[in-house]
Amino acid sequence: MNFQASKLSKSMALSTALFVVSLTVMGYFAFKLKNNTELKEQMETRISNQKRRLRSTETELKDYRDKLNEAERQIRQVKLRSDLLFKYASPVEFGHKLSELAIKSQVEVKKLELGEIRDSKTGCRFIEGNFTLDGDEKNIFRFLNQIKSLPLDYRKVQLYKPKSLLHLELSFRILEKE
Amino acid sequence: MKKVFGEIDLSGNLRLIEGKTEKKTNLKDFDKQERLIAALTSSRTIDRVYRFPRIKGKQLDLALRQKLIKDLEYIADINELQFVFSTYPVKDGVQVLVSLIQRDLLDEFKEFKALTFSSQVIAKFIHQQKINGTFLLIHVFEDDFITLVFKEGTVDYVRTFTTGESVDGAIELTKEYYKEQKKTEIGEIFFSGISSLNSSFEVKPISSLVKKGVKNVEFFVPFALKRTAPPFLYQRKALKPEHFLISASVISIILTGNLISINNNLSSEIERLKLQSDKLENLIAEAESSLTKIEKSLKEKRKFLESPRVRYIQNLKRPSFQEFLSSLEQLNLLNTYILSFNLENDQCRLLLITLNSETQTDVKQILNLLQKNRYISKVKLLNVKENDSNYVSLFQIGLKRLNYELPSK
Repeated sequence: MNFQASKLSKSMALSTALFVVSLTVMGYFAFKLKNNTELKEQMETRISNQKRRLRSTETELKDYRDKLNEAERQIRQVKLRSDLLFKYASPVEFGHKLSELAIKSQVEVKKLELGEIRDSKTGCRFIEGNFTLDGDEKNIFRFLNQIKSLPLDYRKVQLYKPKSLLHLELSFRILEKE
Repeated sequence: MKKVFGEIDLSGNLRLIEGKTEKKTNLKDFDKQERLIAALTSSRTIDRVYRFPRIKGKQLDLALRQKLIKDLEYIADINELQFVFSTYPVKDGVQVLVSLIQRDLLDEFKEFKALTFSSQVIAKFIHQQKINGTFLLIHVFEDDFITLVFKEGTVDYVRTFTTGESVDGAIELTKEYYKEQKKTEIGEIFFSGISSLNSSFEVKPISSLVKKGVKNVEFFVPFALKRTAPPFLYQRKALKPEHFLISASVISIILTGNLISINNNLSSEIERLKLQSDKLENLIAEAESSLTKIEKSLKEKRKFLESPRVRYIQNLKRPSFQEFLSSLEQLNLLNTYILSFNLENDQCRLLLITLNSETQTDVKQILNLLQKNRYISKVKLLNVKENDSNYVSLFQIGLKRLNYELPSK
């Protein structure tokens, strides 16, 4: 069949050109839409991951803050305890305190030996000492009650009654003030 | 839109069949040309029948064009002619019926819905009827005739006649020509297009030839069009291709507009998402930075808390021997007194003497009392010695450990 198609009319040519151009433009924007849609999906996935990551970090942060607060509380407590308990920086200072307590309790400290040592395991400095005293039972018990507040690490306590007086032998160590 | 079938000639004579009503009118008086599907009967058209080997498509088109150029060399310029053709398969190839018309004549029928040639319609119609033998058909419309010779149902020769020719002359010329060229005698002669034909030849209406189903074949065009798709010369649709293209372009532009709008929305959405993402990234960076700082600080604080001095301070407790001894002194039961008290590494040995006791039961009572003492975690009686009604008992005692009370500042 031979239809008259040898020449395109001007309007046909124009409309074809218009169609081709509009189709091309539409194709371009469709392609752009596809790209943008993919980009949006990628962004959404990325944001979703970021939100998850942020939540996880914030949870971790809260956990660490709690732990830090607890650690700070413990440190405050330790410092307070340290300040209140460990007041003696040398054997001389501690010897004075011990004598003071003995006088208050009306007992006499004999064979008092005080020195300083560094614990090889912990590296902490201690005042190490031992002493003996004889006295009335009540006074010795009063003395024992007096030294209750001293943070003594008791190594040995011996109490016996050879005659009428009570005899006490005590060896100890106490952490030095820093 | 309702279709109207008709037959026309170049003078504008029109014969219509619209529904069941036959009308004869002038083409100029018919104001609904865009509805008209018509066949053209005119002596100013040229019809040719050619035979080719079995070729088709572009090859056939090319061969036909070459044949026409050669055949019509002294009659017309092929480039100024519009032609249509239909093919009929025969034994050793393909029979082609070509109809041609001047392009400028064709312009008069631009407004038609569809237009073809009567010869094409008639040839197609007779071919479908599958009629045997060789016969002649003369189709008459106004003053123009077409004579067609069919052999075994396929058009073999066709000729158009001008208005000056008579029917008998046309039949005679065709018969003679066919006999001379094809060496075949034409048997029967049929006519169509009019209801009766005066001729010296024996002629019959075409309705007597065609098979069942067609009762009254006065006009080929409507029947033929109803039964087949004739080769249209051109077909004018309500919408031209340009219209479709423009519509498609408009739709495309609208869609493009939509796409641009969607793209713009998407772009602003993406921009917003990017900002959100950047904000989140900053927040994550800040949080991670804080986390690192806190981790570092916590590590330092833990290191401090785990230092030997701090551990010593935290774990420091004293054996409750002062309290225990005081409680014993307060009890002072059963004439029992402390002989000695030894404390070494939390292990405590207590030697007691119970004076003037008659039995060991008293020692057991003391043991019971010791067991109830709140400063003792465990107690064990190691030894008991009797000496002049005095009992000396040795206990192994586990003392509870107490925290140092903090003195007030």
